[in-house]
Amino acid sequence: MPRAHANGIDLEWEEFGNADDPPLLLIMGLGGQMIVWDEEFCALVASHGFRVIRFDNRDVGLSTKIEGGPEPDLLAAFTGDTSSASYTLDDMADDAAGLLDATGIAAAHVVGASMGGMIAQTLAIRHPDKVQTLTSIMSTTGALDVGQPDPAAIPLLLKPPPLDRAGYIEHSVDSSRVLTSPGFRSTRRALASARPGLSTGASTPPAWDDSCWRSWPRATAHPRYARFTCPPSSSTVRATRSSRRAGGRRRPRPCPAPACS
Amino acid sequence: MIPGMGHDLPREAWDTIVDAIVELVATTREPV
Repeated sequence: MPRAHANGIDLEWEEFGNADDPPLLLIMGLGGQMIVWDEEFCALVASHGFRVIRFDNRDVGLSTKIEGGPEPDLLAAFTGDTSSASYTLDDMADDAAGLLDATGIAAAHVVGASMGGMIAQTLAIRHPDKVQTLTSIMSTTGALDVGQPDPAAIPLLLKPPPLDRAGYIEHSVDSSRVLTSPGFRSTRRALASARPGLSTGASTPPAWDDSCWRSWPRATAHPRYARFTCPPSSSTVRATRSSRRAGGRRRPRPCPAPACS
Repeated sequence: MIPGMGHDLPREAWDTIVDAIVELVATTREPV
């Protein structure tokens, strides 16, 4: 897979579809490698006439790991003290912008899932010229009154996964049983059946390490919604319990005048 | 399927998600 130097770090990325088609950037959520964007899903999107690009966020997969910095304090972050964050959503949005620059893409349709939705929103705010459309999936705005996790999901979100490969896979499958919506039984069945194969056959490294938690967002998009200049979309499919559906419903009105006609 | 800590998009939802993206792109106009 290619690697791009962007925003001072290296990002692993991959593309699907025709290079001449309009680009569409997929941004994954907290701790998720690009491969969580299923290859078949990427191919499906590409079949609609897009050059699909997926990548590993910083501190994930094969992209640069951020060394040093303070020990992340997630409990403090939940109460509003985010001083232990080594970087913010702004930095991760700048990573995505840098990836577009490095791949020669002036602007793209941007799709983010979970924290990737937050990064996508921040990208649209900080680099509106690079975002043609914005689709935020099972994500939220940063406002405290919407989109908070199901209480049952919070302990899992706060618990760092094991660092070894087998432990990570086991933890991820078990976590997905809690985090994935009960409305999608096939996902749960697929995760259960995926366990043996992944334990022996997956070819990717563990997605997590200690520094992964530094990607916990310090800045939120909520107060800056008024600066959106591209039309947003939000898919509120009840796919996860890590952010409630109301987080998808809360969104800015598209095309605030006079930026768009 | 790759377990992704709850980030896995359910296969039943793929068409809904892709349709939303395609519709958004199709109905978007350039800023003026």
